Amino acid sequence: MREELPVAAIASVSDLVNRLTGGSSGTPETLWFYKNNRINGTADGAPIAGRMMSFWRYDGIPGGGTAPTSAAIPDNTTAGGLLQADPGGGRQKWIVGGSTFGIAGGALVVYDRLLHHGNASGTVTTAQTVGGTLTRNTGGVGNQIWVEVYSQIGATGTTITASYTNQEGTSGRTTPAVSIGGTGLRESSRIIPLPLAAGDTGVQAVASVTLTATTGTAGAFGVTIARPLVVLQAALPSFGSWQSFLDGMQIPEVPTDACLALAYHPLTTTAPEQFGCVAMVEA
Amino acid sequence: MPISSVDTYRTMLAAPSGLVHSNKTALTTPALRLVSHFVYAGTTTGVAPSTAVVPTNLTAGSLGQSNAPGGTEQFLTAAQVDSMASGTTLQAGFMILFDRLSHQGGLVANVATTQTTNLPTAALTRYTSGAGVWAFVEVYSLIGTTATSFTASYTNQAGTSGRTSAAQLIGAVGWREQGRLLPLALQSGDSGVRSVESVTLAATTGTAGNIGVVLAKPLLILPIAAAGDPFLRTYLNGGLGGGIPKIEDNACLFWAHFTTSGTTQLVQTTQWFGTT
Repeated sequence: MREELPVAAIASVSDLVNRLTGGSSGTPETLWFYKNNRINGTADGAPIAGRMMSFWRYDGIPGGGTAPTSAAIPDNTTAGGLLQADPGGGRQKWIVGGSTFGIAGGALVVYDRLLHHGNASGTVTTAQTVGGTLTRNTGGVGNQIWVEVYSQIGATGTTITASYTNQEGTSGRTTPAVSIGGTGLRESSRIIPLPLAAGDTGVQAVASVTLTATTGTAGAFGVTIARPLVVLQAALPSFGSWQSFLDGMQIPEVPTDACLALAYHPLTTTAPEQFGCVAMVEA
Repeated sequence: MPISSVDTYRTMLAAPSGLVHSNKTALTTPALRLVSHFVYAGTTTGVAPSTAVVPTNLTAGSLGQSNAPGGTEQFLTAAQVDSMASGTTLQAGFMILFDRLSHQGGLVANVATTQTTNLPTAALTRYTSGAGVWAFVEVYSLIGTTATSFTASYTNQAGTSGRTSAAQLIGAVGWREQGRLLPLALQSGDSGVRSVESVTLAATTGTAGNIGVVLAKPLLILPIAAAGDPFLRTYLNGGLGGGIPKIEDNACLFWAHFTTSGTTQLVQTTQWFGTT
């Protein structure tokens, strides 16, 4: 059993056990979640195997969120997130374990939704403004740019790029073009991650996104700046696991005001019904 | 008081304050659907409630653990699950341990009007704010084969009444069987339920059956990674998902089960409790 923890704030496994059971102001909080594939009671489209999808608007526990419009900063009070409490007393908050199970195999990403925007059109081929200013992980390292579809865009495949500011504060960086539109890359709740330019490791801001050509349907999509914190595995239907530091998982910090949200990598086309939990302590 | 160290935890495992054995002799689970152990026959067999009441550790269907001695706190420190039947193995899947906080019954699945029979649910005596409390419709006796949906009117974790859950499936295969737990999908912005005031089906499922509302707090997940997975699960070996849950006095603990394949099986559980 591992004895040393990767964060100085939690001194040892004994300290972890103590905080997890309420000692040392650990203020343990285990958030349990349930998500089905309905949005406001109406079934969303079926997943595409291997295509990342967002649980942001999905019904469940906690309740689902809504599609953003102009750039905004979600936090731990924003509907759609897991709504965890902020740490108190000058302490930090840490994820010390997590679990997910569902009716279909896949992997669940727990991430901090740093910024989101949602009024881009699938038919506009000029630069569409994103904007906004991060309030968490402002240095940008580890932040990712995701295109998130809120209303299905068109059947014509094309490509998309983003103009962004990298982790060094250098603006005008451009992501390599990736596919968007067409089957698998147009559906509601689809997430299309954008790779960064060579040499970059993060994102401080996204200025705009540009489609090479129209997808044929306006729909609605947007940009999410996300910072992945932990990946929970559920490799087969109903096969999940409890993952913790003791199994080798790292202990990511949950910043104050973090909007913890869920994204999903489905292995099949089965509409997800997902259960799970995220265990956190303060130190 | 909290568990002070790993050594203290190990001592609690070696000398538990309570050890509870329980079994369900013929638990039937449709594939990939959450089913409650509560009313299934076994060492403790629950009865479908009628009027709204607060179940406790003395309620039939509860695991029946003792309360912590005065001035101490009780934790569930380990668990084991297996199939008792000779030559059989436990189906793969997972189990969730809940504290059953409030329940009622007597609702039917063949009317499409707002039902308030035996509602609102009894006031919570544990987790009283409702934060993190889940609400379910539990099927006590088989309902109809027609797929439809239901919503519920409830009071959320902030005490705001008149909240409406999102439409959730009910009826038809996988959504009608005895023990089936159908989670309420909360209204946007909500994270828990303090009480449920009414339930409304969009249409009849074709059979009245008997359904009711259960408010419950999830405490623990046991992953059952492979059929026949009876090892002693502790926090230290990664067998207890969710940590080392504190068990409130009077908690009405029950398991909910989720299997990869539809099956009827004999399930035995053993729960270790420790106090500090």
